[in-house]
Amino acid sequence: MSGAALAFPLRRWAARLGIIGLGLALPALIAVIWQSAAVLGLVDPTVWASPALVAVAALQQLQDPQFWSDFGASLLRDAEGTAIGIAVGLPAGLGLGLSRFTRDLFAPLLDAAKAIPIFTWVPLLSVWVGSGEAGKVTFIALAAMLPVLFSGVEGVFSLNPAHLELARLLRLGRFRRLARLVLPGAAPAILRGVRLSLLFGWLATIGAEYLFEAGGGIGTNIMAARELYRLDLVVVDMIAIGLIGILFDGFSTLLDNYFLRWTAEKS
Amino acid sequence: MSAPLLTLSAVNKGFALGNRQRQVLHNISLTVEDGAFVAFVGASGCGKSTLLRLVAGLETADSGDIILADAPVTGPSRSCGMIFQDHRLLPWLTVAENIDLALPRREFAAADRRRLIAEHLELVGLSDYANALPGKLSGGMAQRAAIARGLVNRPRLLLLDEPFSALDSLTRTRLQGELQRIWTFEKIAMLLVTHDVEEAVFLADRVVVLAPNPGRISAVIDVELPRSRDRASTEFVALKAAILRQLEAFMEAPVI
Amino acid sequence: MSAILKQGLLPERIAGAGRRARSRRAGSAIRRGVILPVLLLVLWQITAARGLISTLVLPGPVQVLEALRQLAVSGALAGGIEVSLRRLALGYGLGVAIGVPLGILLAVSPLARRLIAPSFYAIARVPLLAWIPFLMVLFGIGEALKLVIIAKASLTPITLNTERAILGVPKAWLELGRLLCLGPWPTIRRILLPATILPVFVGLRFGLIQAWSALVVVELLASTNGLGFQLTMSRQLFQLDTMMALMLVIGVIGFGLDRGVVTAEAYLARRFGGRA
Repeated sequence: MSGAALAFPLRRWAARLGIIGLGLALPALIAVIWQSAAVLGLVDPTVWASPALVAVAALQQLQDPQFWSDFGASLLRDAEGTAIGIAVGLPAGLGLGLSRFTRDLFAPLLDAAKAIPIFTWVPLLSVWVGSGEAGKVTFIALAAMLPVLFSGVEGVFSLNPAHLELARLLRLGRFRRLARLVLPGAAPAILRGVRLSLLFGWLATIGAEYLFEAGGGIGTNIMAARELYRLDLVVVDMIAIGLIGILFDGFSTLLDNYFLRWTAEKS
Repeated sequence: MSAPLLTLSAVNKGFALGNRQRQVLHNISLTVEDGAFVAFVGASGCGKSTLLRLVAGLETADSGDIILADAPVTGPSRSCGMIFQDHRLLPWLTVAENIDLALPRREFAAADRRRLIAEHLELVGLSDYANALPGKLSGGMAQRAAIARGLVNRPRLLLLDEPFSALDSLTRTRLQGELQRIWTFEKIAMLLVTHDVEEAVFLADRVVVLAPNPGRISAVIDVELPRSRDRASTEFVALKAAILRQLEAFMEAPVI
Repeated sequence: MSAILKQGLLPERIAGAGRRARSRRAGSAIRRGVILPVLLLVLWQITAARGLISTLVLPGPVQVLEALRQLAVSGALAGGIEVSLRRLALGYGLGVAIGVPLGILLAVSPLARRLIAPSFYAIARVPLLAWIPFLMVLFGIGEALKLVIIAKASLTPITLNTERAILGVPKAWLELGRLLCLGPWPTIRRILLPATILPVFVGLRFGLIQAWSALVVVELLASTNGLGFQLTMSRQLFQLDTMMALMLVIGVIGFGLDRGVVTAEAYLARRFGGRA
């Protein structure tokens, strides 16, 4: 094989490596500066935990059953709250979208609820539902409910009027219309709402753990680590929280790919 | 002689446009026999589509009667199927599932449904595409699937609202032939709205010319040529010319 | 942040046959919309007045308004609003000052994009809430912390939208600029600016919403003044009426900010064409 034939794929690989290298340049630089500063004693090592310390702490945490049990507690809470939020919000959103009457009735309240930053509800919920598990799960449910509710309405709005007329012509029954027309047609918008609900639910979980004192969880841990100035643990927990967010996003993409199979290219 | 399948008597329909009332159809009276093929031609704005939608039950007339299969039309019914210019196949259902949509759940058992769907797929020549998604079909094929859907629950009347105008002319010609074949085979009455005069003369027994502003029947021309019609024959060309002359008369008339 | 939550449910645009029919429908929609809130308010007042639910847990609307009045009169409300809005302005201003140039840089320079974008993306992927303890360790719980958090909250949408806005300018228009031999400054002024101002503004709007939310969170968590702090305080002192009054104020301010931006956006849309 001639040298020229080899050169092209090699060049492409080199280009790819180059791009990745550039992307890593900045974090690498910061890591090097940080690590050297810590090693050289330029910064207080108890505050500015070096990347090496973070890596060590990460390995420790991964082996610590307490870490996993706390992580699990957070995820469980999140699952409960998000499930309730979506189970309430999605039918409500569809119902509001389909019935102008109910929509007009509830519109001002819902628009007002949307304008209030979600965390404003925390003190009130802590009084009404308590600051234990129930309070946290209620808050998470509330945070997860709103995106999917509004996306349900948007989904119904986005239905093709020609299809709705077809349903009228074929005299489709309510259930059939819902299953064959409304849900698949509204699916793109609904899935966008579900993606946000999953994300907001997780954020609400962490926030609830910050604000409601009792109970174990990764949010509680990260705050405790902060109080002890254990930056290494804080960073490990941060990464864990971020990874869950990415996981939810990936899961949402899987949902998209499954339910929106039919949007594949036309021939 | 049995009662006609469809009777329209003095049908009027207007729409509010802006703050004014616009009369779209004025004093339309017409009868259609079982198995007849009637075409409506006219310029845009003469209410052709509205007329079809009134018969389908999608709109209600302001005054006048519409009687279909011995019953007044109050809404969409079993007796009437409709094909639109856009095929309106639901993009997330396969061709077979789309056709199935037209079969009311309770009236048909599963085995009957499968049989009917298969029969109609074969009728329109789409047997191989039963499980295809509409996105994979060409315009012509999608319209054929729509026709199958319109016919599957055996209506007595099929309404076609400019079914081929969104297609290229080759496909259009081919589908006109298909439609004629289906009509001959199924013996279902058909009302075709089209702006293509040649299409009307090729397919229909009777061509109703509508004048615009307000929409009213200006002429009814019988087409007594034997099928399948030769578009180049003198009689065909003469009929087409006669109808075009009728239409042109209204192009020059001032808009009210 | 998606566009889903951008629109409210109120009938801003109602398709209808005629202007009269449209306004009639809008009118009846608004009438219906008033029913439920009014009903709830009345129910609420009756419940409180009759003592059906302890006013410790659910103070009546009259009580809440009275608490609001007291807050206003004592100057505490004005103080809290001033502190919070000042923080918002500074933090958001910082976010805009960094975000817009950064967005432009990322759009314009492929090198900068390759260098910075991965790190930026990684930082953005970790939710702001997760960043808070880290930043608390580094910055303590003073003003600097709040500034950084609010700035970061607004940074992501602003940067991303600015970058997208510039990348989204149709090449055809830039080509037109070259064809007409416009110099760099006229090109920016007459083609780039009008073309990008609306999408950039969308980013600014989302950035403001995020900034306001972040402000509330950080004041709940780690502050000794501001509306969020007052909210926490009233919770600890079990003053539900004050708490609800503050929730009302926070909601109204958030709503007002959003409406203000929407109006500005609508103005820009009229001026520079295109959909808002």
